[in-house]
Amino acid sequence: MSEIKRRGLVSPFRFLAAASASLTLSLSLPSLGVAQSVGTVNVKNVVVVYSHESVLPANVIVDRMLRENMRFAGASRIDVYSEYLDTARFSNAEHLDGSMTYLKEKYSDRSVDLLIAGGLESLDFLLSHRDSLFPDSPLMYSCIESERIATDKSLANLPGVQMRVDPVSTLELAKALQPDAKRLFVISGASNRDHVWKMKAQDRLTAYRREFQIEYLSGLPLEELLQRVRQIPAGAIVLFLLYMQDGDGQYLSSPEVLQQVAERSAAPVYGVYNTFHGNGIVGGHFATFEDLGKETAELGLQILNGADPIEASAFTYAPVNNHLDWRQMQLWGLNQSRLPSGSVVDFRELSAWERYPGRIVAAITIIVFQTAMIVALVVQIRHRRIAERLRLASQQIAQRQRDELARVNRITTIGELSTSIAHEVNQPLSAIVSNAQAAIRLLRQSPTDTEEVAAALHDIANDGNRAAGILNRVRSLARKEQPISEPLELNEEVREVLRLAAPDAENRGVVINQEFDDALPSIIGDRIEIQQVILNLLINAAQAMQDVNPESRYITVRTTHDARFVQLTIEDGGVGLADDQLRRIFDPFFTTRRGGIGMGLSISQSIIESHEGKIWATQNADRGATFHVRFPIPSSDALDLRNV
Amino acid sequence: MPSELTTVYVVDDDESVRNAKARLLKSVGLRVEVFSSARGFLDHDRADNPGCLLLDVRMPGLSGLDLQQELADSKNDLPIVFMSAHGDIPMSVRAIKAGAVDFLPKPVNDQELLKAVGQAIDRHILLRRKHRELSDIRARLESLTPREREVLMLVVDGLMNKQIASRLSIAQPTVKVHRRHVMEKMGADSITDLVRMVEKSGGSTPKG
Repeated sequence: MSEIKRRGLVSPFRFLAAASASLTLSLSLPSLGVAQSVGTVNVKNVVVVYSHESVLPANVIVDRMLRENMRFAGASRIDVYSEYLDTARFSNAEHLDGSMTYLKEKYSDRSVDLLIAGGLESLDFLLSHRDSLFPDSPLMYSCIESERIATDKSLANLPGVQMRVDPVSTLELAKALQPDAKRLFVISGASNRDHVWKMKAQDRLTAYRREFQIEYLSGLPLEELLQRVRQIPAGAIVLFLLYMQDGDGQYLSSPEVLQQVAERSAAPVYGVYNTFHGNGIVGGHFATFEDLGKETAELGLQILNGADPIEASAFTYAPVNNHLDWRQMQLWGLNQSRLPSGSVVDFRELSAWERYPGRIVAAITIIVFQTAMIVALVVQIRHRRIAERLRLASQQIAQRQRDELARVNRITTIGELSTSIAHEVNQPLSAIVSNAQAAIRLLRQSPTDTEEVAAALHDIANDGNRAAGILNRVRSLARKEQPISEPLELNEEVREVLRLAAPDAENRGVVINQEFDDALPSIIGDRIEIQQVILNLLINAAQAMQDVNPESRYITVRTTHDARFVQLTIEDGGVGLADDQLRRIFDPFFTTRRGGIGMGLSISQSIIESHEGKIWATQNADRGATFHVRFPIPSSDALDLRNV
Repeated sequence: MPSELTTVYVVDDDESVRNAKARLLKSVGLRVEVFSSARGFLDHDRADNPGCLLLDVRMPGLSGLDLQQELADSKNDLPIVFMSAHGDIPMSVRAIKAGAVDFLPKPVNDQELLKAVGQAIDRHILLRRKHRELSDIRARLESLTPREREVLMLVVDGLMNKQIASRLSIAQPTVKVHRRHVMEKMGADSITDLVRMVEKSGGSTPKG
């Protein structure tokens, strides 16, 4: 590959070829090694003979530990063969004879480098038949009770790993945890071995006769045992020894019996045997089968490697400790602080925290963060609501102020138009007076021209209405009502305003051109406010032409529309606006004329914006300025709604 | 009282005001013609009748004052009565200075309107009469021979026949004949009458 790197750029084909070549090489190397070792390796055969069945937990554990720890002895590979005598279930002599024949035939074609007796029955069996079976093979034992080794002289020179069944230490442990206990129940089965264990225990527990009321539940049928167990009072200590067979002769698995006992007992159960650990006992004093298996493998390896078996055996022992089931202690509420030092607590269910500190920290961090976010959001929403309320309130105030300002502007405008308005009102009044005087004269004449009198009276009525109409317009501009939205025809509103404003403009010598789009769509708005804007713009235009040549005094009022907007433009031939004026023309208090307060256009802008429209000014190419007002065309729905 | 053909011209852009004024004037027996604009009035082919103009000051296009100016420029002596709203004082001053008969604030009191219109018409009639008299005198003066005109001027200057004869180097009886012809041609009843006519015609002896 480095060669490829040195070459730099290579074709994909080249790369693939090189890769496949190196792959082939790396695969072939180990297979070559295996082939070599197979040809030269020396195999040592270890036969383990267990007293009991292959599924016995103790056997499973020990066998596993042996296989894990006895792989090679020096350069030799170790093959471990496991055999099970199953003596608890097949205790007759024929079975053992058959087993012997079987083993003899089975191992006839190979040498046995080490023989391990797993259990007392197996050791007895192998000691009896060793000469005929494996005469040259060294023998060692595993998991034999220390009492047996100590009492049997024939075993003194045999290497092996001893196992102590220690009911006393277990009871001491129970006492430490339950210092107030006064009753002790000792459970054992009906098999020979069960009986042996019971006898041993009974012997050693006599020392506690004063301290405890001791009851032995021995050799009972399972049902009866369980019945008796139910009657065990709370606060007692239950010591479970062994239960390989019940009083009905039924072969049982001790751990399974233990489980049933533990389920029914109102008092904590303790056990002396390490396979009970985890199956319902609070704890006990024993070595673990893991340690026993490991030690057996260690001793076996030493023997295979040529060490002195007895010497090696003297230094080989599995550590014996108080073993406790954390779950059971929790269940019974036993205080861990009372445990003698050196006690081992197993099956501790790690709290989620102990198991997943990182994830929990992360989760808590996330939760805290999320909570903080949620709180922040809630607070923010709350603030926003408050702000919204305040905004609405201030908007309402602003709206009211705007309305009031608009009204003031209208009244001011009306004031500016007062001469014109007076003229407009005077016209019909003047006509009325003349017609009335004419009518009086006509009535005095003889013959009376009644038709002419009627015509005069008709005209009087019309002119009265006309005067009233003008006053209504003035009054409505000055009204103080809330703005309302209704469909409006912009052309109509412009005409209406022109009736008020045109006379004034004309007095100033201004010609007003009207270019109306007859197909103008309706808009929605407040009639008075729209009229006010038009009025402001017309007066503005008229005033802009105060100082210009009479020939160029004109205002063109134009309405147009497109798909989205209705537009009003008011063009004048006045002095026009400079660029900075165009920018500031809608600012409050900005005025270009003496005596103006500069509110008209500012108010017009706020009115148009409240109608969702737009108002702007442009400078004409030749002279004067044009003001543009744009209203959105409402959807037909909006119009229909308003029309209802 | 004004003659049948006396006409009041009402010029007002406001139709109802125009018609109301017309009706009022008609109700006192005046002949009325109405126009909606000053231009309309100017373009109208009018008969040379006595009358007056009732004119609104404020009108789009040609204003009342503009019309007054145009009429003055064209030596039309039609008297003008202006109507206007209150407050047009500068405008009324201008109008009166330019020869307006009256300036009536609206709404116009009918008595004042009729009085103003009547005065205006009377004034027009008077004016027309004066004009007519003057042109008559001038026509008579035109009919005199140069010698008769010389005699007339010396008579008006107050010279005796003998003085006139010596001044013109003619015989005294000849002066008497010219004098009789002048009196006849001019239609004068007396020397005083003759002097008044010459004064009216221009205040000085017409140049031969």
